[in-house]
Amino acid sequence: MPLSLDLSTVYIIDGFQGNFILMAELFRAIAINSTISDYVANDIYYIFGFLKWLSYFLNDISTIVNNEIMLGNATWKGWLVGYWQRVALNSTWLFGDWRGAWGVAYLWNRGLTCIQPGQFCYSINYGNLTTQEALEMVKWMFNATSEVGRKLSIWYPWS
Amino acid sequence: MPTAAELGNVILQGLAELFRLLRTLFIQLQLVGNNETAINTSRSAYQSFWEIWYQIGAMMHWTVNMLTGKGGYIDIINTNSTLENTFSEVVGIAAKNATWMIGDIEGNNSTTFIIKAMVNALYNPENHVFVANFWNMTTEMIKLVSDALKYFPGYFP
Repeated sequence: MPLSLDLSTVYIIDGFQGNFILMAELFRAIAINSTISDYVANDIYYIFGFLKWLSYFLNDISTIVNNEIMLGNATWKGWLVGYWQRVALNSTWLFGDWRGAWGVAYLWNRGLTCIQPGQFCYSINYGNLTTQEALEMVKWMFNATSEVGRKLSIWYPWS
Repeated sequence: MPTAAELGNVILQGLAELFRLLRTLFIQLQLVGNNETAINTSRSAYQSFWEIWYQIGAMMHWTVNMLTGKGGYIDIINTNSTLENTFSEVVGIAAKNATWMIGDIEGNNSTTFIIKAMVNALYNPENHVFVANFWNMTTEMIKLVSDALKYFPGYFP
């Protein structure tokens, strides 16, 4: 396998590893700082309020597309169907194929190959390192969840 | 600060709007699927739906392979004693914090607190739209899938 292909696989794994480290830091901040976990417990109320508003906004757009375009205007209908078909035509290159030769499937195939014994990512211990970072992230995620969970009944009284 | 009843209300309203959005999207997919022949007569209805479905299936297959395959990430946990220890720490933290992560039988904490707030808010007459939207969304999803399945056999010989 050429070195450049191995290196580009390492860059992709690096991206995921960096994401695990970032999320672990954020969860750690929530878990060890009681002011931040108070804020997160408060935010649950506002996050669902935002979900309501966002869904309402997107639903308005979709309703207009359904009624004014899909049922009314033949030219625009053709464009919208054409966009879906264009996605379908390119879906092999976007999502990948069953052999793992194209798209996102190829990236996962390359990653799995690279961390096998004797391969480049194995020789620099990247399989173990990524797994370690992921497990650390899950640890802090559980700690943060429990810190927020124990504060809900304090911030949301029944009366 | 909002009360638990207000929290339950806003969660139900947020999910109700999400279900309404999904219903609209499923209707749109039905309209697109039934009009595919209008663009290219060599392609029948729901062609793009099943093409996208098939390729996303391939992507999921390789995602699962990477995690559970030989030499994959779960295999690495099982064959490396350091990582096995870290994993047992993860399970230990989960067990130690279960009351605060998942909740208790009275629904005083965590996830069970949120579910209790939702269940209590459901008895509020103004939240009946939640059940209606959930029902409508499910109905349109079943209609979409059954309509698309009618054209399925012709696609992958």
